[in-house]
Amino acid sequence: MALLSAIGVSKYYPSTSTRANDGIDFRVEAGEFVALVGENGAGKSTFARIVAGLEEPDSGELRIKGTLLRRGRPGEAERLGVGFVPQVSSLAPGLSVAENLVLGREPLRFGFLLDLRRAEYEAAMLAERYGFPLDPGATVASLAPAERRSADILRALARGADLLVLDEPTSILTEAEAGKLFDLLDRLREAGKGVILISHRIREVLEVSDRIVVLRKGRVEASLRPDETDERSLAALAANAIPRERARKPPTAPGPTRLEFRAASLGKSGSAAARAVSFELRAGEVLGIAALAGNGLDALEDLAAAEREPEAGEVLVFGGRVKPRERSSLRRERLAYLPTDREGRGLSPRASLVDNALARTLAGGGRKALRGSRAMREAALRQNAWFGLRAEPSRPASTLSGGNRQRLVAARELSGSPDLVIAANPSQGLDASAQADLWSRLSELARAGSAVLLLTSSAEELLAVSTRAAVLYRGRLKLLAEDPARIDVHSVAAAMSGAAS
Amino acid sequence: MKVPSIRVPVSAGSLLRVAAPSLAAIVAGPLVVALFSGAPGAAIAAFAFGPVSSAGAASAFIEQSALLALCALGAALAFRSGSFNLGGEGQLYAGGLAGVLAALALPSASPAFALATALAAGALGGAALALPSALGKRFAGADVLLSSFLVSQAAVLAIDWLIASPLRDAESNLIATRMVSRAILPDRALFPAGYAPYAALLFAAALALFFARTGEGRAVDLYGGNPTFARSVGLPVGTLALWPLVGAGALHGLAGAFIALGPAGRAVRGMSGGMGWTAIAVSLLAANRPLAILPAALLLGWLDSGARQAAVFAGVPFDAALLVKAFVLLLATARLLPPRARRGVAS
Repeated sequence: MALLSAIGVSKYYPSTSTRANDGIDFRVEAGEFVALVGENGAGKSTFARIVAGLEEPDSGELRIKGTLLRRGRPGEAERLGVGFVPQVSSLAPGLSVAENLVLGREPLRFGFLLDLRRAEYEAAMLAERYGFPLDPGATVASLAPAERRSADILRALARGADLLVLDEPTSILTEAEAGKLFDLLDRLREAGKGVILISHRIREVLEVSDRIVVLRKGRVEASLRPDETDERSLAALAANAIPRERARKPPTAPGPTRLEFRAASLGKSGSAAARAVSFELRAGEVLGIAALAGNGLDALEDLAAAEREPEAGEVLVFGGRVKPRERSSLRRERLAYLPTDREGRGLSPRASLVDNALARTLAGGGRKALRGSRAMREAALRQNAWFGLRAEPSRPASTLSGGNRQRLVAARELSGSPDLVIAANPSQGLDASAQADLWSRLSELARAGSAVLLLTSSAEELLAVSTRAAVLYRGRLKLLAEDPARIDVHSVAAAMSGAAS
Repeated sequence: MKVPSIRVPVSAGSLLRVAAPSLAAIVAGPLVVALFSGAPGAAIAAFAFGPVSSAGAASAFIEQSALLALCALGAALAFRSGSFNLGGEGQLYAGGLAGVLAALALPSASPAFALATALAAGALGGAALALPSALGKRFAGADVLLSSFLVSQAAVLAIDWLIASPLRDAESNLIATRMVSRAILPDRALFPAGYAPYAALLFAAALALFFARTGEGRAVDLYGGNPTFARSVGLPVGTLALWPLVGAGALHGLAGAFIALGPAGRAVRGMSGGMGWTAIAVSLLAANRPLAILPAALLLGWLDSGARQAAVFAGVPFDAALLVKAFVLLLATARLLPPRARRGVAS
């Protein structure tokens, strides 16, 4: 009997008009290791959360070991033997491994006293049984990232999981750490457990899984055995490499250097760090850097936007280091920034569209002057309409959909003529036409003399906009081409997942 | 492009949020005093109509409400900048003492100059007490909620001691400082409720204008709503962390100076009387909107004043009014609607 059988699972999010899952059929047998791959927004995490009972599907049915998963019972999937390990560890950092393992079902002495020794004994037995080298008494905060991942898995096992759902478990691990983790998972496979692994890392997917399911736009695009494919074609399949007409830009003679990284590093452990990254970005060009989650793109973004200072090396903006005092004026006068963390850095959700749209102007000279509400409103309307956002300006930004929030941020940041643009995943949430508008605006800015740094997790976006293309893999920058017209999505996707080109 | 006129968006939720506690106060106030009195009818009458039963009572009620409004305006300024200032009580007390000391230091100055200096000193005193919390937030990311409370509590004890010992007027029966020159106190025939109501109106209008019409006001709101964004977009977060909190201290201090330079004409021990705390309820009740603070202060002022009247004329314990205030505060801060109804409409 299959550990999991899903038939026609669909999920639609009205708030963002996204069909995250669209009739997914999926099976996992006992002792089977199934990888789930696909580009960002393909619906992998949604499906994983549905299997774990954390989301309810709109239609379709799920059976776990033959038992139908009923709706409206969030704990039922866990009771039936599904263990979900989210992307970010959900362990309590201040508690020990053993305490985390028994959290919510603590062994008691005399019916009310916490029996910590028994908890530690049980944890030690479990770790021993599956060969997890973990000290049950160690505080979770003191564990290395890979150990923490093991503890996450152990907790799922402690709750009787027969099917483990792992959402990008290796995204913050180094290759060696990931290797150790997969050794542990191998033992689980031998013990008859099933595993669903979500990963962007094509090479590891090919190495460890029995079957690979590719999702695209919420549907199952392919179901393959590792020997039926190879790194390049799987990477292309997963990255949604639909051939498209590129918005080619005429090459322009690059102007002065606007941004320079000199062996800049940020972030201490794991592959989420940027390591000794060096490049120069000149006026008139779009340097695109693509990376999958967990390869240091966030750190690169922080450095480029002067949000943080490098721990080693140098980052020079307009030829100099940015002192914290200077950042405000730099930001309002010369530096446009579309952050990946839109909700945190990109807007103030409770404030109105007017205030969000004019935030950079408020930060400038207009701050102290008494301004007419009407003038502010007109300016905001003009700016938003320019990027296709038509909404009542007095509304709080939080009432907009994700895509419209992104338009709001893009309209604010790209409406002037900034000298330097840092665009990090700039088309997140945008529909196809807004995405095309955004890409052509970035190209237009470069032609007009801006220097544009595009940081993206999409190979397609990289090739659509960049005049030079690079990838970041495990924190290291690798230049792909001075002329992106000579490379294709397949080779970018392969490079992003660490495949040798 | 035709631009429609500006409308202040008022949702059903925000209306309910203001209306429910107000209604609760109006209903619960008389009920509570009746419960604690041997003569419920007299107690309710004293509570409901006492504040306006005579010219003197009405003046006192208006003056108290105005002082409350001044403090609440300070609270709103701090809240909107994202600082939960719990130090209002100490800031008010410090302002009162500073105002009196300044007035006492200028015995021969012209009354107008002495009054202006005393009020400025009061504002400075309150601001000075808010400054450590503001600096802590600005340079060390310290939690204003805790730091403002701790500084304020320490200041209250210190000022209690100053008034009771070194600064005490030995000739008075009160535990209080010497009296300031009567010439700087308001002429009650001309200004029966003193100067505070004018100051409250002035500052409410100024703050309303500030938040609605100035870039700096918008910047304070943006910073209060999301400091990470404010920093990222280039707003001067260093000054935005500092001045609204210091400004809040100044408004509390100013209210303190008005209290000390009111009917007593001196700094009396315990003169803050919990007003710094009530101001928080007023500000929350008004959803931190300056103009809405005026009616909210009148409502809470009425509760205080009515409770005092009921205490004098019907033997109701004054603390009974605290119950009603606590109830109002609970409703003002509670989330009245379920999450689904609060969520905005996605476009």
